[in-house]
Amino acid sequence: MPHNQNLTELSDEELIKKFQETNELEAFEILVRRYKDPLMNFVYRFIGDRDVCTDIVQDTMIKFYLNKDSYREFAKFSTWIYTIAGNLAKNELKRRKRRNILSISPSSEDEKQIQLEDKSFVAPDRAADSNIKHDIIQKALMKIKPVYREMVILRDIQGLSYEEIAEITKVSLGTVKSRINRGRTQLQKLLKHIYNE
Amino acid sequence: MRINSYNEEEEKFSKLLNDLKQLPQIKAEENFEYNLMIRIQNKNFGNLMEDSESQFNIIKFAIPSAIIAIIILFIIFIPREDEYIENPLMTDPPKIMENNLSNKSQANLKGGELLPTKPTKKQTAKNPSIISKEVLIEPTPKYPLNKNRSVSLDDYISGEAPKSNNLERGNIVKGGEEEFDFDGFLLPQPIDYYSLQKYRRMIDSIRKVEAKRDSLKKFR
Repeated sequence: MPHNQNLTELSDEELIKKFQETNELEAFEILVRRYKDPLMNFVYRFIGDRDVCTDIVQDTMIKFYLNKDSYREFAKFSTWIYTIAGNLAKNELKRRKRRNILSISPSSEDEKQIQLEDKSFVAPDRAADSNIKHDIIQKALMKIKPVYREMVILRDIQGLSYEEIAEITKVSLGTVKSRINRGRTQLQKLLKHIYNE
Repeated sequence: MRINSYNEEEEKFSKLLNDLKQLPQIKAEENFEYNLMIRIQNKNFGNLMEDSESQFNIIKFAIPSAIIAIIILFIIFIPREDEYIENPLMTDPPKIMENNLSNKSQANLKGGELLPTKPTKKQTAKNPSIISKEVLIEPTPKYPLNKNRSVSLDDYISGEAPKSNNLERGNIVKGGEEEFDFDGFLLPQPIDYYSLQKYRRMIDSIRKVEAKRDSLKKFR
């Protein structure tokens, strides 16, 4: 399939241009393939819920499909798609917050679970196990403010540059750096039981 | 896109950053693309199509709230009718219906603009509501002068002045031995409607300001 081979060799920006011009689904599919895993990782670390995370990434791809014409060439495709995913993830967080406020019960099931598992924070011996450690880090991530969390994930987990993060989050470079620094400080404080050992 | 080098700021977080990088990568399910393409083919977009409409909802919400705000401001700042103090200068003077004009009233109104016009035959024909003998007259101008203590020169010269006691008149002119109140000589002049309107407007504006001030005082 030489045509398909050619498409896979194209850059993200070339692919979306092709998709915009010819409405070729193959170009769309290639972009989906390229970005589904990084977006899943980003959204999961941000939301902390696997099922919801799958829905959000699906919605991200559908939004990309529906609003392909709103993408402008001067922007990087990666920052554009991360922006969509980030916005949807933030909306989900807001929805959850609202649901928790409106909930009649004093604490939801999720909160109870988190509270129970928080005990592992004061048990450094358990932290030796890498899986548990990963769980602890994920829970610590969920405890920091979403604005800091998003930046820390994009920078330290997804490995994006400060400039890309500034473009995705629509804030200045200075704000990105200070937020990342604050996020890391908060995270380190939450994980002091691991790092003090 | 991976960044492996740490700058100075990042060094103090080196352990944390290492751990964050070592976090397992979460991958999409195997049927992710299949499910996505089915959703697209079935046009199962959920509420993703409604996003542009939700922005419009904000406008929908903003318009009624703005109207409500305007109404509230209107209620607060516009004085109620019962608080309105009627300006006597702005109200029309009461119209007196008279069947016959007395000579005296005619004499008083002579030369003035308030002289009532008798309806002509043409007018009565056009307007049946005007009865031939009934004439609307404006009230005679009342001067703040006591007739007993003043002399109308015009009336006196023309001889139309009512006959008064000579003693009384003499007393006025002479003054007598006691201290008397003499208002001065009465010189009936035609009313200048232009200046009257001007003064009315001035007084009215002053009253309005006072009324507003009072209402604000009450509000405070």
